[in-house]
Amino acid sequence: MSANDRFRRPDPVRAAPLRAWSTLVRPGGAPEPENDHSGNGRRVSNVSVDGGASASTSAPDAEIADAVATAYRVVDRHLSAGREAARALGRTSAEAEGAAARGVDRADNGGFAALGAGLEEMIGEAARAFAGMMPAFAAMMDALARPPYAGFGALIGENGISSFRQNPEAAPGPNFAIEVASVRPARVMLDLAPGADPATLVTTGLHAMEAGRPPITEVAFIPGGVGERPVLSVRVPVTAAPGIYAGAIVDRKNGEPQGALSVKVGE
Amino acid sequence: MNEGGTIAVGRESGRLAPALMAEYGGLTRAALDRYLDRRGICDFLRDLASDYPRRGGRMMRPAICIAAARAFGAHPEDAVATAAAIELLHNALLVHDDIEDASLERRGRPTLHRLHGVPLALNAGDALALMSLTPLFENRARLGMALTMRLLEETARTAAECADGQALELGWRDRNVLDLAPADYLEMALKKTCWLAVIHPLRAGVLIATRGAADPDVYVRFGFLAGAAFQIQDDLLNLVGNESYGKERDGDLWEGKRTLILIRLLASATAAERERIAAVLASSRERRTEADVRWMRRLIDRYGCIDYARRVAHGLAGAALHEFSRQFAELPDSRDKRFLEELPRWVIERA
Repeated sequence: MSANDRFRRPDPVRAAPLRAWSTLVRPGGAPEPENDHSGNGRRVSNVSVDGGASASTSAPDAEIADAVATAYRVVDRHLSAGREAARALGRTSAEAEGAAARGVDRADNGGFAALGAGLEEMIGEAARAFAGMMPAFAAMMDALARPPYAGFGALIGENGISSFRQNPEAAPGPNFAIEVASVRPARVMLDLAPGADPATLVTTGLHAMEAGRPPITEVAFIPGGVGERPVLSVRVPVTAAPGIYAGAIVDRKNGEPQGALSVKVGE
Repeated sequence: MNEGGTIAVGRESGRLAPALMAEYGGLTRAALDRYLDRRGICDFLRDLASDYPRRGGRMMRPAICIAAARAFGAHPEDAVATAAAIELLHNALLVHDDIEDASLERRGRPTLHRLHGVPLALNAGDALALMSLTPLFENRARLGMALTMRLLEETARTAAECADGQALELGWRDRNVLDLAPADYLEMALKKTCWLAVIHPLRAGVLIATRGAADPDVYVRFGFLAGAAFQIQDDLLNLVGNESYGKERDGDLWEGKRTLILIRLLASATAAERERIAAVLASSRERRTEADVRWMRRLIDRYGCIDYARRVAHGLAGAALHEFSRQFAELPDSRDKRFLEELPRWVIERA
């Protein structure tokens, strides 16, 4: 072969995906692949969990592949119906996705009362519907009557250096300044357990909700000096696609979860 | 998934699922006790409402909720109340299902309505369903109002799906519907079983961890495929399970349930056999005889219906693993992520 000849790979042995669904998850202790129903002792398939193997696509396997395809059709139809119903109610999936963010905005603008208006209304309806329905209802109302737990108070930061507390009523945790470097609009939400030590916090990276997107890894917790606030620094890569990136925060001393961090990268 | 198209399963395979269910089940049980032991409830309610939850289920549903929340970065305590709500609702529906199906046994003991009569059992089921709201409202304190509302919406959706699926199954039996295909069964299972068994706990856990930011629809396929495999395995165990199964052996045949196995039998049987099956199913449970049920059971074996259902369950579990590799790949490795990965395999291996 001369240097100018094009290199040609041999044709692949297999030109179609393996679709032996019935034996894709063969338990370790399960019997060998079953015979088919014709009684001729032919094997249905020999794909196993433990090793790559060849697969024959006999009639019974086609039947199982068909059942799996049917399952996909059923669930996809179900999802479409759900989206249609949401649209009919004037609430698209995208809007639903932003529900929490809206909640934050409403909390910022209108406070607790505005955020809870829908819930209060629903509680009223529930009260009317279940009135007289025994102590379980009383217990439920008891739960509602209790004051809010003064727990996590998420901190929010946006492009540049800023931070404000999502729920001012919550117990104050470490009061970070949040430094966000991003060419796109980005909103960072830091939700930390009370008592978390800024000096020992780490995150394993912020992962996109959509598979296949690279995570945001340039995240650092910088302890503050005397009289200074600690800083959370998040650098969003120029190439980061719009979407939500989220990850856990752990204490590097013991690996215990200490909270969550999410970044919403806008268009 | 490796090059050969098969799915690599971790070294802990088979051990992690029961271990995590025990661990998170313990957390949930402690929370359940707080709701079940309320003072001021009379014995006719308290003892009955706490009966099923204390018979010791596997706690798969709460474990999925807590594991999903942890896999996405939440503290387990963030998800315990929701997990308890899921378990309470599950037990409420078990009580009602047992009445509707005229079932004899649950978790190795007589069903609640057999022990105490239908009115008291029905009331206990109602109470459990209502009690399941309490932890959801208590979420307000820890998770905030917006997420509490979202989880209530999710629960309402799940309850509606369950009721719809149960109505389908009851309607088929009531009208003696025989012309059913696997797609009908899968749709019924999606609604009746998969939502509460896997989809809702998974979605709730993810929503808790992401503070409502994630699109929960992304996880429906995995939940459905694993949940459908779970339901088919449950149907299989009803016919071939050992004593630890906890329900009446061949109970589904006695109750005339339209399982995938029965649908396969109806499709495989000769015209004469089909006519006799139709007649057996048309009669009430009380009029069905031991000989009828044994005859149908033999036909099921003769036509390989159990083998067929088992292979479909394996196929669905394989597809669930495929969906897992698509939807959860970006999550950092953790025990909880591995538990979710192991789940499809566990549901078809459980005895």
